[in-house]
Amino acid sequence: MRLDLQEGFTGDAVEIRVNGRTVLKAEGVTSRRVVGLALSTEIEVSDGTLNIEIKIPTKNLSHTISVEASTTPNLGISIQDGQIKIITSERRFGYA
Amino acid sequence: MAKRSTAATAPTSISGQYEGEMTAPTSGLTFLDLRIDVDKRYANSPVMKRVSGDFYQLNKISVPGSPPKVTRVYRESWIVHRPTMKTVGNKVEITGKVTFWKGTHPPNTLKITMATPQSGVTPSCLVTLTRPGGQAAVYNCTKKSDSFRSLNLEIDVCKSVNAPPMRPTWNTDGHPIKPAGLPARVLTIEEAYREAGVQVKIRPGSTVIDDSDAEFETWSDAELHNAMETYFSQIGGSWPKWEMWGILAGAYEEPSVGGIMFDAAATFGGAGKAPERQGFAVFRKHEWFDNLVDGTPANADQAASMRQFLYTWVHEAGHAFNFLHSWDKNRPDALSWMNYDWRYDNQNGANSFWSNFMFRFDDEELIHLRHGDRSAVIMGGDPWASGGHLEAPPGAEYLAAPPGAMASVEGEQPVELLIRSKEYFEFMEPVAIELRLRNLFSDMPITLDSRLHPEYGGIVIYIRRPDGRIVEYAPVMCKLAYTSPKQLQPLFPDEQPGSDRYSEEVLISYGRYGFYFDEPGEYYVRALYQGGGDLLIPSNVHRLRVGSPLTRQLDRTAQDYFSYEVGMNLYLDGSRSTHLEKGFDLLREMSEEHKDSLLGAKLAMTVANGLTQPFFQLEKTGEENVTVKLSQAYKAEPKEALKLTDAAVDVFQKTRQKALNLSYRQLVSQRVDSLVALDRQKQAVRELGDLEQHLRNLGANAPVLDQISNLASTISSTPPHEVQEYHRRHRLWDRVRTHDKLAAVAGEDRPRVAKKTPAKTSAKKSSKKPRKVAKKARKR
Repeated sequence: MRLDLQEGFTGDAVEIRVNGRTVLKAEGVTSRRVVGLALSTEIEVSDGTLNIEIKIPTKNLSHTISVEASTTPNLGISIQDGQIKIITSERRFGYA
Repeated sequence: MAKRSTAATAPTSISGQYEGEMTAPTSGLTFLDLRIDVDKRYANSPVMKRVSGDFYQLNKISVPGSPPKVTRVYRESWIVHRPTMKTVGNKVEITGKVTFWKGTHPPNTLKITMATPQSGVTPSCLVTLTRPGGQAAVYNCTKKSDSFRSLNLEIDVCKSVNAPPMRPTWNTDGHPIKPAGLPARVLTIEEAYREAGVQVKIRPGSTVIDDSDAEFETWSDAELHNAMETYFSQIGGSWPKWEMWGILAGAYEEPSVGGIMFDAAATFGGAGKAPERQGFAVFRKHEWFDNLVDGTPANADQAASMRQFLYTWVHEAGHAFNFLHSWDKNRPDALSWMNYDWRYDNQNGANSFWSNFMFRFDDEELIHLRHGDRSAVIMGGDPWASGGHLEAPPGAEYLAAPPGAMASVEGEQPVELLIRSKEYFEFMEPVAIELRLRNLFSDMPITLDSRLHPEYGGIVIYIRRPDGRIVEYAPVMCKLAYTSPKQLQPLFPDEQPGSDRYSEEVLISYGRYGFYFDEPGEYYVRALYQGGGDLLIPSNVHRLRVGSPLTRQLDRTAQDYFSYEVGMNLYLDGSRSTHLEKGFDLLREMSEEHKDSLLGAKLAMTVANGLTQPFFQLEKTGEENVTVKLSQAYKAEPKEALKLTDAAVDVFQKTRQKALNLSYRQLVSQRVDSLVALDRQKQAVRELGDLEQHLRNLGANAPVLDQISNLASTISSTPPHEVQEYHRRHRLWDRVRTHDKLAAVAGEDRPRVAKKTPAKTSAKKSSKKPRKVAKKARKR
């Protein structure tokens, strides 16, 4: 699965777990406004339903979402209006 | 009022770009670039119901026997929102309230009168801006274009992707997913922008950049910026200007990025090098463009690729015009070149973006592009995502430049205003810049006001701080004085530079609003010479860096250093006022503590200057009707001043930087004053000799060296009491602040034609160089 941290990150710590396993732990995550992307990474996931837990301790935010691995090859995470927003897509996100 | 058209403008529309000179109250004083946007000017181009304009000052220099030399210097911009338009008979009248983008102005009203446009006749109009009370400025303007602005785009291509199509062409009918009623037409970069109201002219030719190094894979922002500085033929000369650079490159370091306007601040993810918004890149190896074809697409995948190619070019150029993404402007549902299709679809349903997108910018963007404040739109103007314009996100206003900061010359200027200093300053080191005026005419002298300190109002200095904010330097004092006219001669080919220029050093560390260089980082300094008001000359943009505190102790000292008392001591060149005693003592302490550094040397000069003169202050007397009395609080202490600056002489001798020549001369001048006061003329002559040798080794001009050696001769050959008396009344320290006055100290008026000596040969050669800034291409 391609995981993109998109808008709204300002030097944040981010931790993402999929089915209880930590797949991403990063600090100082900052969105690049010229493209609307902070970080893009490929993560290994199993088939079936994925429980994705997103924690942004620097903003005291957390969010959990369940998706089907087969229909969600791309997951975009943004911080908007003080909340975590998720975008899923079958197409890979492109930035310009 | 109208004349026959020779240009291919839209035949019967009013809208477009007009220009013309002021006709009243002063003919030819200023120039107006006017944009009228009240009716349909071009197919598929919405009307924004706005009128806007840019004012330029006209510099006209009379030349005997020839037409006057004219240059335009941009001053400020304004807009009229939703003007009223009336047509009576064959006359059109447009009126509205003028809003200036920057600065404080009395409320102006606009009235434009013109004949109803006729096919084959170039429209012209009378533009009147009226202030409260009836004072009116009138301009006679003629239509120049059916676009509102015009710029050149230079496109270079990397060898790895040098295959057609290199530029996008898109038939709007070419993909099955499209809006109902979408007008069928062929769009290119030029056509998309022409519809938006900007005439984009693509420069002919394209440099192929060799990216075939086996170890090179992807581009970073820094590499893209470096490529722009290397290959963009227009990168030289002064910015801002209507020039843009695009590169078709292979792949970006982040593979999901298909294009980037890399020329933005590092905090926004750009290359972090001002001026910004000069260039962008499109990455041909991005998967978006896998199905590009040279010709007509044969299937939906190819069509989508072609469409995305056009989108990416127009989108990135849009960033260079200072556009943010649509969602960053709280318009996530905008059907605009500046939105992302997948972001729009996420909110509105699959394929909804391309099903509704009409291949245009949204209205707010069009208003910015056509009518926004010039510095917020023009390349190299306001930093990206800043400026007092319609596209700025909340909170970006503080980055807006003050009026005048973006003044730029169009055409050849008669006088050069150069700012220079050393490039690196230690933390807390006083920042002084040299301001130099130079006559650029090759055949006639020019007379200018030589008072270059902002205190006299003839020079305005702008400082861009590390956070991107541009502030105007405000001197602590404002001085009223007669003008000090100085005639600068043209530099003839057989002459030494000298009489064609005039310099003054100005300390800009501290001003009315405190310290200006109190944070480590990169600063840009620019000045605007206004002289007596008849000439406007912008300077170069001078970059300097302020270092970080080298020790924890120095960092702690900053708390006390950045204070009113220290700032005023720096501003006043050392003061023994009881009100500033704390600052004077701190500077003295620091100058001793850091005596082996430039910081210490410069602080020592400030303190020593305070010691070389007696200080008088007002004291309460207690007598009836006499409340205060002026009495000497401190005697001059030349011996102490010399002791304090002994180490500074060594520092300047060891620091072999040409940019410190003036500071070293000032130090020696100050010491000569003290040495003469102490009857130590021999040492004064010796120190002048050391200075002359030092400057000679660094390639100083012969006139400067002659001045120093003449001064030494004068001191040697004049009876000591006469020299002492002269220096007591006319301190060399004061006089050497302006370069040219040193000649007067030596009692010499330099002849216009320099002596022919071997040392002058190289200078003679350099004087033959073209005087205007070389704008030659670095390629081709």
